[in-house]
Amino acid sequence: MIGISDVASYIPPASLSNLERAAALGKTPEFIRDKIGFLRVARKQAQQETSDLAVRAFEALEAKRRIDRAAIDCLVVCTQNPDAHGLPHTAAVLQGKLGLAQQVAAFDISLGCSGFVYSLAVVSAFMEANDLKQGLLFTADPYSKILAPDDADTGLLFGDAAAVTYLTAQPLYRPLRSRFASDGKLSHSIQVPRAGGQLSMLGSNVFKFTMTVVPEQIEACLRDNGLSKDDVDIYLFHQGSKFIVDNLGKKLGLTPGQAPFEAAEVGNTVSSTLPLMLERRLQAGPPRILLSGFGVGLSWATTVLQRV
Amino acid sequence: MFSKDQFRDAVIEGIKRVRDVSELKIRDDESFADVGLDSLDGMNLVLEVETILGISLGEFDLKGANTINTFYDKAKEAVAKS
Repeated sequence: MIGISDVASYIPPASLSNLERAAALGKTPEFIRDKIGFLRVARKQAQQETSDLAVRAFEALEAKRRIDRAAIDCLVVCTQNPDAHGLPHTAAVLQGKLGLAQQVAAFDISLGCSGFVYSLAVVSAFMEANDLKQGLLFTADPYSKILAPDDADTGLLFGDAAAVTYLTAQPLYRPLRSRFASDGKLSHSIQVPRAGGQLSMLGSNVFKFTMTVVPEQIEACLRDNGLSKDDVDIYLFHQGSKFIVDNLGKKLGLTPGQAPFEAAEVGNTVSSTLPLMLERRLQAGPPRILLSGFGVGLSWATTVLQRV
Repeated sequence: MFSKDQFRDAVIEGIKRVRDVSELKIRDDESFADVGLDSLDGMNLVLEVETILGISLGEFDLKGANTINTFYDKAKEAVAKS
């Protein structure tokens, strides 16, 4: 049974201060602190490619545990901002940069904020079906490549980071039954409308969707797994903003401690927000962790991780 | 559809829920910012009004609709289109 054995991450040391930029973008410090929640947003160096962020995450993993690079047989990168134009796929580039064996299944998954939950399900099942033993699931989606810096709707939100989840047959956590959903009729709500363009977002659509279909899916996922809300020790929600996390938690009747906001110093790192939170609590982790990711697509996915 | 009075009551109740207050006074032409709502609170207000009135406004925001009067006009249009 394939599951999560470890998680490591890379957050670039450079960042922008939202408090310093607030006035220029027509926002107050209180709005930044209490609603947006991101005091700083991480920024990669201009010359760093998506695969470079992933390499740094892998180096962080190797610093924590011994990894036999020759034994890695699956490498997946979840990104919608791949290296260059995405051809070749970033996973192939990364396989080369890491010097892995040729017998590696390497492919990209094009998903954003729902990407970690989707990818975890896809990669675990793929590995189990094909008797693969050691997988690396990277999330690396540097939105700084596509942001308009003077766009108040997006420029204060997104941060760059990468995470790597090490998947093996001796896991600490395994995913239980997951739920997935999409609504392409609202795909224009978060988009880069043309090649080489910049991100645009309809915040009202995204908020409405977060507050309606996401709680329904969370409750359905709990039912699928025969669990009540109290059976879950902690709820890790995609860190879209403090406003979204707080309101989603409130809608589900959770306390802030049950559904934490932990991205104040890094920003919304897209598909990396969930593994970044998981990394902090993996070793001393609670029995059950619910993960819910939601966003671009629009797409949303929820799972429960059970400690093995 | 809903009357102006029903809509006004829904908005006032919605603002009370968003701001977590028990009392609120707001004129029909007074901006929501004047009673302490920011742009994100406005998104919550739209959801609350939908819930209170049992309607769906579809893809909707309060840009250009930041008073009870303008919110009412825009909401009527949205419901008529749906």
